[in-house]
Amino acid sequence: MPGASRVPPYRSRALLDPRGVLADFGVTVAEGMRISVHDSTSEVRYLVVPMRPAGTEGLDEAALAALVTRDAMIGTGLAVAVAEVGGTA
Amino acid sequence: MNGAADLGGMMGFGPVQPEPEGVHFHAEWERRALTPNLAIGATRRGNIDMSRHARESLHPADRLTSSYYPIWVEGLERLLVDSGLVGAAELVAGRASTPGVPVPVLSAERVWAVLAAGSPHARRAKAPAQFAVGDHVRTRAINPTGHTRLPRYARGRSGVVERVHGVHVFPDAHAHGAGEQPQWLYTVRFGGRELWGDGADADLTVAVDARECHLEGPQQLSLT
Repeated sequence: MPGASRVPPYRSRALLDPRGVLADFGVTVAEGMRISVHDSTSEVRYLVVPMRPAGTEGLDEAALAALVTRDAMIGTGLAVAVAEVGGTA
Repeated sequence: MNGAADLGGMMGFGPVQPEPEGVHFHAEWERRALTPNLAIGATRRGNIDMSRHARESLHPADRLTSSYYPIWVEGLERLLVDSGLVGAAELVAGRASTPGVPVPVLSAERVWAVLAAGSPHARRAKAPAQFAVGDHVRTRAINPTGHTRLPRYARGRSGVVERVHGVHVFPDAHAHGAGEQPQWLYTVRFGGRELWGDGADADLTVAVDARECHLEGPQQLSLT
């Protein structure tokens, strides 16, 4: 688990102000987009499947995997846009 | 217990400082602080819930001013003494002064196999689940002095059962050597305003995993 998510600034505010915590990670969540927080209070573990970026139709598995970051897998970031990795859609 | 590990909703810690990918430890000793916390499970004198309780039992002033791995080290020291594996004087001296308690030991060559096997907390159900997906439930307003994983912000709150996970080890008992006492485990989702009031983000919902004995159905609610 990355360091930022173990510390009090994250753990205290992720439940009350997740929009603000995501802003700390450089992620802007549009008004009206639902924010679902899951406080992991058991031994059940979860994986976040990142939202598919626009313009990725037709990309193969390897090309899609290149868009996935650590933060996208833990819910503190989005998969990077195709343009950011120089891919073509 | 209402300890300093239960931070949800607390304010004043400042912004999150994201770290680059690939940074796992900030010093070599942090790597070594993690391993004995895993190894103590093999001795059967400790378990994950006892470790959590040891860490949440640190004095709030110490807990809140310590970084992550010092908390793990201090929690482990407490657990080693409480479980009788290490004497308090031995801990201070930094070496053993008694022969030691014979316990199963995790050998280096078995580490990966043990970690890969995991330690599932699911158990066989002996009674049907009291609640189903979609049920409206309320968490109990408990304040136990012992371990619980029901966070303070989610006590006495109304939510909806989102998932039924089966029967799992009950941390409130397991942390205190009272056996596993397995309980039905549910994911319960709450509206942001139910937890945080009218000023909360309208787009927010929060879910916790909660044990059956911490939940009551609407028909069980009363004002007495």
